[in-house]
Amino acid sequence: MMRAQLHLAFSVLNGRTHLHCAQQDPPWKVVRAFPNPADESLVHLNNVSGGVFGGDELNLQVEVGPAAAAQITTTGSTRIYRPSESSTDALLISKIHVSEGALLEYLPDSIIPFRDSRCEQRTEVRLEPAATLFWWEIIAPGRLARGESFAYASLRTRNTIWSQGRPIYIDRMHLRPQLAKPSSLARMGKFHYLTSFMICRSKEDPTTWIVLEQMLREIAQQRSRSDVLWGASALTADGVLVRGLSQSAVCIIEDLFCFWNSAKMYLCGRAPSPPRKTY
Amino acid sequence: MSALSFLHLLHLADSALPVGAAAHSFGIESLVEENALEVQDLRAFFEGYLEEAGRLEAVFVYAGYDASHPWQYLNDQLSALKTARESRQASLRLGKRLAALAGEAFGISCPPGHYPLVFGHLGCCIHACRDEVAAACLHQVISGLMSACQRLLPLGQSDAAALLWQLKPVILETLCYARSTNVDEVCLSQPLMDLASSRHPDLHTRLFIS
Repeated sequence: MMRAQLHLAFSVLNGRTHLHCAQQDPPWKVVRAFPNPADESLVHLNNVSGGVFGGDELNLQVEVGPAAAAQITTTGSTRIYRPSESSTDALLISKIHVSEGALLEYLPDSIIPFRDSRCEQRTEVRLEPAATLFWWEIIAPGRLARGESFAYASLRTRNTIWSQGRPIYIDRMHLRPQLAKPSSLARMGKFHYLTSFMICRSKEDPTTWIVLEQMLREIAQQRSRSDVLWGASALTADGVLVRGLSQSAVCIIEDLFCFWNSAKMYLCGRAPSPPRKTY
Repeated sequence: MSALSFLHLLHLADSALPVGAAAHSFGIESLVEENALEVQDLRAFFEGYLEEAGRLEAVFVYAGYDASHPWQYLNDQLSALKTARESRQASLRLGKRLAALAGEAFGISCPPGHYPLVFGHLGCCIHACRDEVAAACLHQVISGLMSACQRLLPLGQSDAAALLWQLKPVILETLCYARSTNVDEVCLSQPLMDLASSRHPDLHTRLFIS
């Protein structure tokens, strides 16, 4: 059972974004930041224990300073291991603050909840005026290659994005496959993977989101097939949500890159720089 | 609850109340169009729907009834929880019409907001019992969706009536959960419904606004 903190702060110095790692407890490991071709500061989050155990509480705190540009990814999927019976649920807590005029691209690999695992993810993102966020999240059904699908006990998400103090996105799911069938058409139907891609900018003109929704809906139509469905919808303010359900993980990243490319070109006027790693 | 309150509640929960509910399917039209939903699936679908969206709606009916938080806060929460634009706007539009109707036709003042909040607030204003108000709202929602299914699927009136009858205990189970759940705690795990709603604008032909 581990309680660990990782505090990352990005700030602009001499026109470039620099990383300051104020606290780093095992199993978290961040080696350094790399400038990507767009001069954004890329950081790989590594969990050296290989996964998350019952009772673990991993806290991530990210501060993106004014006008800074950061990209955060992981070195692999977040594996949620089966806990002992007496263990409490694993907790993944992230608090992210994106300051005025800053950019954060938070692009972690998938979450894979193993058989009987129990996990709660709480992520809170706060956006200041003109702060931009690209954040995706992929939830796998388990280790499909082992024939393990929806064998976990409980997966709870409590994700909120605040824009200037107002909630614009609340994702509060509680999946308990043994109690409530994911295959219900009121939940996930025939699909196994759930992908959410939040694209937000605080204090943006509302028409921006109508136009972007339309653009992303066209891509969603093109990328949808019998085994994957994509959709895009403007949030109540300051953002668009792209959502996907698929039967396998095969095309998820490729499709996400497609949405990301269009959205970033539209909002930032430049193409995204994919994280330096092999997918 | 007095007989008059009971009659007022029946009136509010009447599916023929002119607020425009019949024009919305809340994503069901897409589910049917994309061949996910068929008549034989309906019972299981509505049970799942009540366990997810039904719970959310009921929690906010109670919140509207109790005025548990400031009105703006409740509406902001529900708007952020309803991530699919068409379904969110439908909830706001129906709530606005219900509030306007209450003011114009019934002489009851109510601020505009999401439908379950307005319904809860009006239920309190007519002195109906809290649980009955939430049950009536859920019943009205499910009746409306069943009616949408009748227009989209080969579902006869008798079969629809039988299904609605069978779902009443599930509505009560939904209330058991909602009664003790706070608006800051309620969960919603229905990504396929949200996806269906967000794909609805791109259907070639549409019978419904949402």
